[in-house]
Amino acid sequence: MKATISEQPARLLAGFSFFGDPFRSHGGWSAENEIGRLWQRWGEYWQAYGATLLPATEPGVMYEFHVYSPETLQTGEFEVFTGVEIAYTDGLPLEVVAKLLPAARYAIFTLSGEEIISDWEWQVDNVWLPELGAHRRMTFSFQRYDARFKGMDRIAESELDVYIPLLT
Amino acid sequence: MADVENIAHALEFIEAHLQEPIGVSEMAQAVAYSLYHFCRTFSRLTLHTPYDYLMRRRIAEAARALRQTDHKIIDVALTYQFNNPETFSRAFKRVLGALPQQWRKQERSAPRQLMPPLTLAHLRHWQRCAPWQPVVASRPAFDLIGAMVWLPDEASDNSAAWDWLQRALGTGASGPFYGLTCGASDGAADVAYLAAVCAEELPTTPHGLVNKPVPALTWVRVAHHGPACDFGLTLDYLYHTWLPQSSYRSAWPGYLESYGTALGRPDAEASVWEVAIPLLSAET
Repeated sequence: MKATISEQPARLLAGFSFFGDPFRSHGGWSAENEIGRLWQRWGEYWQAYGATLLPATEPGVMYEFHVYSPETLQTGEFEVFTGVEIAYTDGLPLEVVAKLLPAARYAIFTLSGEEIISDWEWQVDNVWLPELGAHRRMTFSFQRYDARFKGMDRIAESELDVYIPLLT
Repeated sequence: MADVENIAHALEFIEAHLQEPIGVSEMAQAVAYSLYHFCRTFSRLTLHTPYDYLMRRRIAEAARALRQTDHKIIDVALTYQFNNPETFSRAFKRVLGALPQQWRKQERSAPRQLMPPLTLAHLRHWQRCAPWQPVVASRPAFDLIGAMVWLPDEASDNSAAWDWLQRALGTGASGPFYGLTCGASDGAADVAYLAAVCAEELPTTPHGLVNKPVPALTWVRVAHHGPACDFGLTLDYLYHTWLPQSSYRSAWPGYLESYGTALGRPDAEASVWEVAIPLLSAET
């Protein structure tokens, strides 16, 4: 795991979202759970329409972010969003939602191989952030997938970046 | 510790805190998992979300308290962390199909209505049977011929019925063999158990055996893997995990086991047989 802290600009994203417990129907890493299904729906849309219709700024980069609310601690329900960064929202197709990731200071952790499917969130909270002397904002976090991520079936060769917003 | 043991520990934590204001984050903390990884792992191993499981267990214990004590309904609701009667009644009706006051008036209820606590034994058994592959299918009416015994409860030894069937059939019968368990709809613990073969396998009903017509029904069936002593864990999966998440309810309190050529439940670690429960659409 590599860690850095940096100021990040706001990012405007377009994609699909889900609210609830994404593991209600299938736990684990099943493609059948709501996160898997969200990626599936988004992937199909992106291939069919999104790549041509959306003003993507980095078409090869996908984001997954999780938004937590007070009820998340009680029920385990939260919002999951998958999408791409876009330049503007004018003419956004009806089926696509936009999200603004705020500009903030983030801890950025690069996960490799099996780390990706480990309980890295626990490591973030209990080991990695304390080592950096940083404190997180508990309201959201996001993952950035680029060409280094080869897919769940080639996890050993994959890397992804996790962004944790920090209290200033 | 492996995930199975950690989640079993979380199940114990839930059980010890049903009357306290815990949420999913406290469960995750109890086993040193992040909330996200906990939800993912708990659902994978128990086939319930942690919150759904907590709610079902609270309702089950609240339902028990309503029958076994004369505490006011609102007090039972508050004890099990439902902060108003509306929420309690709605959750109660959704899980048990009756309002708390209706439930209290019924002296008994169908067996297997109240979700039992899941344990390490459940998790290990479910891993052995995984992936569960329940099949829902209609089956036309058929007749069973067999030996029926009354048992004090469904876990009791049923070998007397098999001895009786074997004596009546002689050495020629090769199966397939079935076990039909019929519970009382009023919730009494005793059950009727029929050790049987299909009527079409026999030209006539041998002396001493009974004929049991089974009506045309929709059934869900799964394979049980493992020794007979773990069979109750398979039934727990069907009644408390699969059924509540399906669009069906149990048609009557009983189930049909298919043993193939074995005379009764085989009892080896590698044993496999099928069990089916009769279904009705939940809307009927």
